[in-house]
Amino acid sequence: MILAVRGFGASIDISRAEAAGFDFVLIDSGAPERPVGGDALSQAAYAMARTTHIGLAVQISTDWAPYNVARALASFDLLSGGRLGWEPVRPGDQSEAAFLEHIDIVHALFDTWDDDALVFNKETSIFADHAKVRRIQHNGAYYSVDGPLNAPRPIQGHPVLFARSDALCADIAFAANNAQEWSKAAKVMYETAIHGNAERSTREAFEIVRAQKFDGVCFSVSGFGEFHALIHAIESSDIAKNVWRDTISLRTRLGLARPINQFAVTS
Amino acid sequence: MNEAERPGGALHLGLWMLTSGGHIASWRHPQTDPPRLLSIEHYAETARIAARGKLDMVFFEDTLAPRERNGHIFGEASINSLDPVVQIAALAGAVSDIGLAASYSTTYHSPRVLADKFATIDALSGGRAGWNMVTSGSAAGRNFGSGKHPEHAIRYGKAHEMLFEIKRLWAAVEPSPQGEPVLIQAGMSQWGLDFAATYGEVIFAGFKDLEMGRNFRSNLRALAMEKGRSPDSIKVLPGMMPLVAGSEKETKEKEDFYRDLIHPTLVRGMLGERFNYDFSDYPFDRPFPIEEMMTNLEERPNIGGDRMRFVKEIIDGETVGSYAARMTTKLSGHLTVCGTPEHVADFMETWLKGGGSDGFVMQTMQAPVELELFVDAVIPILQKRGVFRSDYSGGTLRSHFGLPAPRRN
Repeated sequence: MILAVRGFGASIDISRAEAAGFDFVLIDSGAPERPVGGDALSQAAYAMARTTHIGLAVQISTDWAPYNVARALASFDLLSGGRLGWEPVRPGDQSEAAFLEHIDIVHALFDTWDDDALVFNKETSIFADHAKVRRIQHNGAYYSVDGPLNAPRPIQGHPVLFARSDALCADIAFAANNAQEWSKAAKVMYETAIHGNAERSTREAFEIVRAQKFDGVCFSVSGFGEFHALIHAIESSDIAKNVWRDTISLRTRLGLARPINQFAVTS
Repeated sequence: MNEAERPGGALHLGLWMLTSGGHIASWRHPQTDPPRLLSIEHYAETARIAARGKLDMVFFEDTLAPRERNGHIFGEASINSLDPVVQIAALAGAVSDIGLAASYSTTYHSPRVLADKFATIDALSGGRAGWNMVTSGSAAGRNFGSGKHPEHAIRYGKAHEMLFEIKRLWAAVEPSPQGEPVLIQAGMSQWGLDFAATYGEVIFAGFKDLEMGRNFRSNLRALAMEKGRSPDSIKVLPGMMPLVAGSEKETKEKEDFYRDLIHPTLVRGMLGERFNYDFSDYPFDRPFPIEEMMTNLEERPNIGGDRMRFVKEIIDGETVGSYAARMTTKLSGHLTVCGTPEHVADFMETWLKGGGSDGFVMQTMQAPVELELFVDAVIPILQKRGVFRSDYSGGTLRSHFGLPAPRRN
């Protein structure tokens, strides 16, 4: 069973979640008009070198340009040993079509470098094979982006994609009920809040996951107190937790296939 | 001597972090492990060495398009930069004490994104963040074409309006231990001296010699005083590249070693990048094909500046090989000082005491090996001479630089 916790960065101690056996944390980005200082990606990056194997997922608003998003996510995934996941968030003034185009561009930019584009040949002085790096020359209804990205392909190919809507072909969908309705996602996780008694909330959640055949559960916490109650409840439960020591990619940890490169001729 | 010309009392040092070092072929150094350049451990290790040397900060530059030559990525060189803000956020969790600064573009990020990210990192690091305000070159533009995106760039056409908005967002939240991130600016940028004198706290610059530095620094300090600021609230740091060796003989050997790292294929690539002309098969014993080159001499992508300055460097009738030899002899585009630890320390002290700078933003030929040598051999001399701190006296980047509390709008 996949075990996750989500909330604002200030509510979650990521090292503690790792020690308790959580598979990933998801840091929420908050409302567009919230006070500054709560950037989810920076908060997750802060935990990168303080943890070794927990997945680090973030909400990212798609009002940030696709090239910026792709570059930041690729950098994070590479630096962290392939532990990144993301849930794109559509701002209120963006159309569904622009949102979907944005995410397609981000994925195309990840694929501008083949997996074997980095050669590192000190003898011949070839760092990267330019024949394995390409532009996308995207010219769409909402964006035009030339590429290539100035970061190599992420370790996971694409960071794990999370969504609450079926409009995206997400790796993992979050749902409050009926796992079967989610046709496109590879896996579906039950999403629930901690209400009152954390031990009872987690026990009930595990029952629903088993009865409705979800792939796991993501608990959302609204503050540090709830987070600690959740940690305590999980640690004292008999739920089987995944134990890892070494760095492992989030995809491997969650049993997700690595996406093939849409442009590659070689790999 | 008037106040504007007064030299700084203490040296300030930033480490300009590039993947494997400032030398273009440092990834071929025997002690560089190229795959490791993509892991946070490499940057954390390098930053820890810099913190052991009590440097003021590490700094990451920003590029928004890959280096290219002849229409392809520049495959003979290392990757230029990962997202610098992701890097300093990760280092905030990995390395203590030292300041963490990054460039981030005002052209392609909104004031809100800039304010949010740097405020977050400033809070996470306990007040160690610095932001180098940069605009982006033309090569990046083609990665950001959309009807909507440049809107804020137009709205905030004037840099000071944009900064006003960022400072307004910062002022609305609980301040970090240093109040606000330190504002860094390249003093010779298009925003100019006036902007630097008004808002800049740390100024990066490129100087040819001490006199140029002294003129720039005293001008800037005088301008700051006109605006009601203390001249000591601005620190001028020219780019510098030291090459440290045990003796004169070893210095010569080391210079040759780094020159030899530049493979002929890389030389042809560098020429292609400089002149936007394919030198892959061009004979080195022939003069430059100037006329042909001039037809395709558009602005140089993402490195800044125009290509004409390189054309002007070509001596009449000179062969490509002769120009290339001069190009690779120069080990960096910054102030370069090669020699024993005492010689390097002398150079730095001369600049400080001569009023040419308040310190340096330094690249090392290779990282972390050459940085470690600098920290172990040069820093103790500077400390012994009393021009560089023996330990940090505070926990924030602002305190390392001796800067006052930030000015509010």
